[in-house]
Amino acid sequence: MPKFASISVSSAPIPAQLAASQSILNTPSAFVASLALGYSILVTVLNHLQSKSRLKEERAYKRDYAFYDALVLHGCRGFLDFASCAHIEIQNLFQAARSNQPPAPPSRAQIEKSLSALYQANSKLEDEILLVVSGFSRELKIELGKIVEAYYDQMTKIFSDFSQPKITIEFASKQHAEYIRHTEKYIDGIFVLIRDACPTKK
Amino acid sequence: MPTTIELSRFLASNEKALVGRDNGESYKKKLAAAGYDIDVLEKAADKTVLIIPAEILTMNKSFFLGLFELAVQHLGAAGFSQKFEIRASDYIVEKIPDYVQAALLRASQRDILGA
Repeated sequence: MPKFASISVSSAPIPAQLAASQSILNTPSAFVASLALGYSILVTVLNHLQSKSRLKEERAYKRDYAFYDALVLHGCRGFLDFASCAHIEIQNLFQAARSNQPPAPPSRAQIEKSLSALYQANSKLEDEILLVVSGFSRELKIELGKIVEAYYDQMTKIFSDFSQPKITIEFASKQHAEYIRHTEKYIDGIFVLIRDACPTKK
Repeated sequence: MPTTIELSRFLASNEKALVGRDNGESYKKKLAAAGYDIDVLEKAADKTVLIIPAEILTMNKSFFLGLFELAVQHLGAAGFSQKFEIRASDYIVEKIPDYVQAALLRASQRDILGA
């Protein structure tokens, strides 16, 4: 038995050690004890491996969440600011129409001013927020960009429609309803995308 | 001799705003079908003048990108302004340099991010 001999530290002759270990294993209680010891070692090793893997996942989750928090959640306000800008400008257009005596549509200069404010807000959102979101996920940036662009297009249409020959109550109600519908769609779309992109623990 | 495109020939009735990337791409196709292919005109020796009628209030960035994004990216800002002249309201004309920069920025973002 050269294999045993190489790891033996006892001075007892090898056959005697073997016989002793065999006699230990031959007793039922000793056999059960050694099985329990083996099982316990196995469980300890598995637990250790599992906790290492869990620690690794936890670190990865924390890292991903920190990026998500800094690059996406921090930017959420920018998406709402864009919708707020659209709201303020549509109110300005209604106000301009109401203040005309006799009642008339807002002037072309007023519509251009509102369109300009909307354009500036859109550019700010694209340049400052969407570009940063791409640091977290390019796909998320592309999807958010599509929703922002669609909203920008719809608001541009709504603002341009104010150059009517006459502003009627029906027209004002339709414009308001269109504004609400597109804004709700925009906000829902943005928040569903942001919620779904949140890193999750495995 | 410059090629002149009167956009009024292609506008839908009561159209007051040129809006949306899809719409810009659709106009690009309409113009190509009428013999004004932007992809060909950008390579032509002569200048192209696009006349947008006064009743059009605005041309937004996404429409411009649908119509001219590739031409801007191929020609660069200076090359585009030499090759294409857009005659429209002051409001629209003032915005063109920003739109050109947006088209170039999109190209560089695509190069950097692969997106």
